[in-house]
Amino acid sequence: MSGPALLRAPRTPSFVDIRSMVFWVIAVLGTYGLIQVTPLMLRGVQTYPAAGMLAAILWGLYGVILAVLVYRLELFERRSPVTILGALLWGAVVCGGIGVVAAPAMHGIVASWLGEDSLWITAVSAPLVEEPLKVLGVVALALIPGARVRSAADGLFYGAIIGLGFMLVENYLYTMQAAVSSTGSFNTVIAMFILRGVITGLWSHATLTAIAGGGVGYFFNSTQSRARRWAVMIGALLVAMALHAFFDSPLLDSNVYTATIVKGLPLLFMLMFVLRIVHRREREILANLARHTVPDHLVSPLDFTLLSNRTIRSGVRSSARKELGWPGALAMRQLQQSQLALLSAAHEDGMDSERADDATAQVLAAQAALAQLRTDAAGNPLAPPHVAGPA
Amino acid sequence: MVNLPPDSTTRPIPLSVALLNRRSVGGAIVVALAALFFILVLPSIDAAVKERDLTVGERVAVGEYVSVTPGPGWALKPESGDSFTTLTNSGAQLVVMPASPATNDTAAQIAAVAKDLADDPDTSWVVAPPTTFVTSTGDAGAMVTAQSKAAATQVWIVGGDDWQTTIVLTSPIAVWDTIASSANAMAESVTFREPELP
Repeated sequence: MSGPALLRAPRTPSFVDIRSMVFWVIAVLGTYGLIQVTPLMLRGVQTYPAAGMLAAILWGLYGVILAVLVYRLELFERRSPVTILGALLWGAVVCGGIGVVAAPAMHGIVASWLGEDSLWITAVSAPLVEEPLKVLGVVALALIPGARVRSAADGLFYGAIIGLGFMLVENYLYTMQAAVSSTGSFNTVIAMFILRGVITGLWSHATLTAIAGGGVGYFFNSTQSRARRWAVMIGALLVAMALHAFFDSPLLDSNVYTATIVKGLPLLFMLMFVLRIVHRREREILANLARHTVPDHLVSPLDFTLLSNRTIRSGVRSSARKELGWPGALAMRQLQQSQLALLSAAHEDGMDSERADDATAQVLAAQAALAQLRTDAAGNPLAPPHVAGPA
Repeated sequence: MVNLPPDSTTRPIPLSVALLNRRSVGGAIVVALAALFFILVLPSIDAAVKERDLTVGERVAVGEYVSVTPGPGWALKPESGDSFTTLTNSGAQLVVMPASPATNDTAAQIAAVAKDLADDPDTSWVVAPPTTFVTSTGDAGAMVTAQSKAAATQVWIVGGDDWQTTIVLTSPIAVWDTIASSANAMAESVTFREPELP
């Protein structure tokens, strides 16, 4: 390139982009999935409404708790709720609906190959269908600029949400199938919830797709060679499939608790490893923006040091509380959030975007509010109006 | 529009930036083809490699005195013989035992099966409370369902005036939801042929 690259903001604030063909493919697949999965979802509810309600409440609450947990795993929170909902629906409706057709087919093929008596049918079949389908959702989102899959961390986050959506529908269907078989027994619903949610569920689909999604995020955002990007994306998918196969294998199944711990630990370690890498990359990107792109009076490199992880941010707020009381802590939180929003806007939409302008205004307002608090606390009306961080 | 940082002008642009404000027709085709592979191609391969499906509604004899009506998608396993008959569907197996003398206590028998499943040393099962049902010909039956992390099983015992039979379904958990209805229907289709008087 001979001159400075010009970057425009995505034309939509979320993945809903009617000018993108990928969005329409998602819409068609969503409709197909809805047609496939709705009758299964309603079947148990119509026959045993109380059991259906209990299962829906349990899995709904479970989903909310896990979604908050996934959100908390992020270094910085900044996602579009619409895109998050789209990711959740891809997992629940598209993967769930296509899975209704593809899972039996794959199981049949593998059973023909291994023999119907094989205990390894599920371990081989499930990863071959479920992991690619879930990762396809991250790819589809990454192909729509409005979804803002702009780092490996973004891919990891949306992968986790897609996995969560798929897990919720899958577990609800299994629970209701068991409930129907026991004429709507509440005990069966609760036992299924404990088995699939508490004992074996904590590190299943969301974790697996987070790992694979991180690879997709890397593929779409790294400037390394094409071969390397493909290797990382395919490698992450293969790792997720291998871990899924190991988790579903009959090895150690005589005790579900032992099996879950022994099979879950590699998954947990792999997730921690990937999280560490993607967080480091994300920190580097934002630190670079604080150094080169965002003006220092809004977010200086020193400011970013104080924003770089949750623990430090919490410590800064704590200092503000000691210095200025709760209003100071709240004002500091406002400043931190607006500075992070500005860095995100600069990264995803560019500094001249409307989003960056809004975030800039919020940073200036938060700085002024904090300065006013300090001025009031010092009883000095001539104190400087600009304060970018804690004194 | 903004200028990227100076160092970015000498580096390749990430794909996510290159895609900005494009219609992404190629990407849409890739996503659609991948989805179609799972929706159309996989089922076609499965249909090509599996045993020929049994004719829906045409009764299958199990031994001398029992018959069932297969639902859609079920095939007869070639090794099936006089001792029992095995039907397969998407990796699931439905084993239908031949008739044995009736004991008229199917509920007690299914309770024993439920206990065995709960005490299974090899697999941790969530065992649902047993239920009863009536076949299409009016015979009494009892059924128990159990699920583990990766599998589901159902056992039905159907008792007539003279004979009874046991049906056992073992299924991968991912398939169970789609085949359970037809398996239940087959259990309800059990018909006994009365023994001929001497």
